[in-house]
Amino acid sequence: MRLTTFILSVILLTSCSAPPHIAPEPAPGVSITTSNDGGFVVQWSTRPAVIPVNDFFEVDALVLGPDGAPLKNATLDVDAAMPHHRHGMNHRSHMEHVGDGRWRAEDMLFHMPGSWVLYFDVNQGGTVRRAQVDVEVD
Amino acid sequence: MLSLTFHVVLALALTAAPADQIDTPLRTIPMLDGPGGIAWIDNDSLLISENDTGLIRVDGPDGSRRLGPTLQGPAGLAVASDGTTYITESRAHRIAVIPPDGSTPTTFGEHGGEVGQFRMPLDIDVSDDRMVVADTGNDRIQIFDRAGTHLLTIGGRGTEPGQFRRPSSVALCPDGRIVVADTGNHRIQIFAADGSPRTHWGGRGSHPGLFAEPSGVDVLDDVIRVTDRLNHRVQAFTPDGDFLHAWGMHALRPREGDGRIHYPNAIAVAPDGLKMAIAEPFEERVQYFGPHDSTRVDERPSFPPRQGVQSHFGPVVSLDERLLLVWEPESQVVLVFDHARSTPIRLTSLWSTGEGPESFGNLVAMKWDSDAGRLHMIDSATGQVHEWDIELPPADAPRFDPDMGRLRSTRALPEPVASGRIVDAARTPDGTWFLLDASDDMVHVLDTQLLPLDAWPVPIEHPIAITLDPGDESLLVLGHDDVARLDHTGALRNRFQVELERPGGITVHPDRSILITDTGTHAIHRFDPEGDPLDTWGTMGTDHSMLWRPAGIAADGDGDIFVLDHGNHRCQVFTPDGRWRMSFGAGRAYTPLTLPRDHPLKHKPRP
Repeated sequence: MRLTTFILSVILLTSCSAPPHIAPEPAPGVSITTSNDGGFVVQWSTRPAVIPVNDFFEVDALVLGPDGAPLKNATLDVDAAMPHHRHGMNHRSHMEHVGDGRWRAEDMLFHMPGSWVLYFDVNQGGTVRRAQVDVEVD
Repeated sequence: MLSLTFHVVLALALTAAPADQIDTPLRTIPMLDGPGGIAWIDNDSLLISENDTGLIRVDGPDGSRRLGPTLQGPAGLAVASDGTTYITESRAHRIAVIPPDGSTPTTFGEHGGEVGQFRMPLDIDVSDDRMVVADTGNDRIQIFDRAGTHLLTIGGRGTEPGQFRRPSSVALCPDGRIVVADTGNHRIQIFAADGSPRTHWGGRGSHPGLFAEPSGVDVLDDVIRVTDRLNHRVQAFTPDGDFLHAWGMHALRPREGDGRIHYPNAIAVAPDGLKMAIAEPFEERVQYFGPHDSTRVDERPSFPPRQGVQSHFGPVVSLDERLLLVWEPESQVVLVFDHARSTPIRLTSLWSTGEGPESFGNLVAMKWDSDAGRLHMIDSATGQVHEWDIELPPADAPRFDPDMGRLRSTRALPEPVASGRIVDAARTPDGTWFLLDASDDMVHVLDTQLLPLDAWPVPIEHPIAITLDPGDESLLVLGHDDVARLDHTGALRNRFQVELERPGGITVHPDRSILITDTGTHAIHRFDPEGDPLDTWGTMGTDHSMLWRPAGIAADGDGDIFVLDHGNHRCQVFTPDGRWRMSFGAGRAYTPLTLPRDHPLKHKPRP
C-alpha cells in the first residue's frame, strides 16, 4: 500500500447557503457543507489536506447558524462511516471546542481506502441535526 | 467512532469450555404461558412465573404443576431462605409476598413514581435481610428490608454510571453487592451495598463482553451469568467484569431447543451450581442445562439451511403504496423495500454508527410520510424521535443505494413521555402524534414539534398497540382482551372483546375491517368495524403461509395484507381474503411461481 494517499474527490452534496455578509470567508482548502435540514452550515478542513489511510488526521470545523454567526449553545460531534460496507471507524475520535463556534478533532482515523461519509452532528438542547459529506479516499 | 454493528451472531463457539460453563441441555418444560421469571427453591425444584395466565408453576421431582392464586402479570421471583416467595406483579405494579406455607399472599407497593411505588417491576432478589427490586418502568432500583420498609433507591433514567434505562433484572451477591442488568444501556452495573456505583461494563454489540439487551442476571460463587437477549446467548463474568465465557445458538425453527436459545429472558443457577434454567418467553419454555460435557457433539447445522428467507425482521412495520419499512432489532437497522412490483426490492438500509444520541435504540413505531419523503421513528429506549429523509429513486427504476437515507434530526420526547414505556404510536396526516404509554395506560398527544397537546387515559389496562382508522380518523387501542375505539379527544366511541391468547399488532384494512395478529396462536384475526369476528387464518410453522409469532401488520391500498412473521424473521403477504401471496426477507422472495412443483401452495396465484 502506498504511504501517501490522496483524496480523489470531495463531493459537496448540498449547496452553500451562509450569508456572505456575516459568515467568515472560508480559507482556501476549507469546504462548506449544509446540514441535511438546512439549519446550519459547517466550514471544515482536514490536516493534512490529503486524508491518509490508516493514520490519524485532524478535522477543523466552524459551525454557523442560519444568520451566518457561530452557532450558540451547541456541541459538535464528528463521526464517519463506510455505508457500502456498513461499518464506521475503528477508533473513537474526540471533538474539542476551540472557541467561537470552532471545533477540532485530532484523532480521526480512516482505516481503509474507499467511500467514506463524514458526519457532523450538532446537538442543541437535546436535538441532534446532521451535516454529511461523501469523501473518497484512496 | 467505534462501529460494532454486526448481524446477529448465530453461533459463538469457544475452543475450550471452562469448568464453570453450564451448557449441556438436560430437559425442556414446553408450552408455558409466558415464562417471565424463574427461581430455584432448592437444588431440585424451580419456580416459574407464567405472565400470561398469572399463575406460578413449580417444577420438581414430583412433576410440574401450577399453583394459585392468580397474580397480575407475575414476572421476577425470588425465594428467601425461610421459604417466603417474593414476586413482582408487573401489571399491578406491586410485590406479592407468599408465606412459606403457601397461604394467601400479601402485597406491598402501588403504581407510581414515589418512593415505595413501582412502574412495571420486572425482577426481584432477596437475602436474609433485604430485597432488591428492578423498578423497570421508573428506571431505578429500590431496596427494602424484608418487612417492606424502603431503605434505598438507586438510579434514575440516564446513561451515566448509576443511572439506568429499563433495568430488567437484579441479583444480590452474598456480600451485599447488587448486580443490575441495565437492559436499555446494554450493560451490567454493580453497586456496593450502600448503593454506590462500583463498576460497569458492556455496551451495544456482539463481541464477548458486549450485549444486546441483557435481560437476566444470576450470581453464584463469584460468577455473574447474563442472558444476552438479542444475541441469543449466555455470557459469564467475574465480579470485576472480566469475561469468562459465552455460549448460545439461535434457534432455527419453532420450538427448537436442546441447547439452542431464542430471546432468553431470565436465568437461574441452582444453589449447588450443577443445574441452570433459562426462561424463553418467545418459545414458551424453560430449558435446563447441566455442566459442560466435552464429549457431547451437536451435529445440527450451525446456520440456517439455504431454503427460506434469511433476515431478522422484528415486529415493527410501516407501509404505504410503494414502501415497506421494517426494523431489525438485532442489527439495529431499518430496511426499506419498494413493494410496488411483483416482488419487493430492497432500496436502502438506515443505520447509525457509534453510541451518540442519534443512534438507534429500540424502535417501537415507524411512520413514513410519503409527501415529505421522511421517516419518523419513535425510539422507546432513548426516548427520542429520529427523522430521516429518504430520496427515493424513480418508481420505474428502483435500485439499491446505501446513501439514500439521511438523518435529518433526532429530538428528545418531552417528559413524562420520554420516561414512559411507549409501546406504539399513531400519526395523523397532519403530523399529530398519539403515543401509547403502557406503564401508565395513557395516550400522549404531541404536535408536529413534539410539544404536548393533551394526555388521556385509555379505557384499557396494559394496552399493546394503537392504530389510526383512516376511514373516520378514530384511534383503535388494542389491549390483551379488548379493543377500544377513541376519538381525538380520547372519548370512547365503542369497545369490543377479542378472545385472543396474546394480541400483537393491529391495523385497519381498506375495507374497514380490523386485523389483529395473535402471537400466542400464531394466527391473524379479522373483525368488522363493530368488533364482530369475521375470519381467522394461520397456524404455527415455518413453511410459506404458516406463521411464528406474527406481530406487526399493515394493509396496502390494494388490500394486500403484510404480516411481520417475527419468529420466522420474514414478511408474508396475503390477499385480502387471507390467501398466501408471498414471503420475503432482505435478500429473497418466494411467490407461488418459485415454489417446488409438488408444494401445496403452487399454482395458486393471486386472484
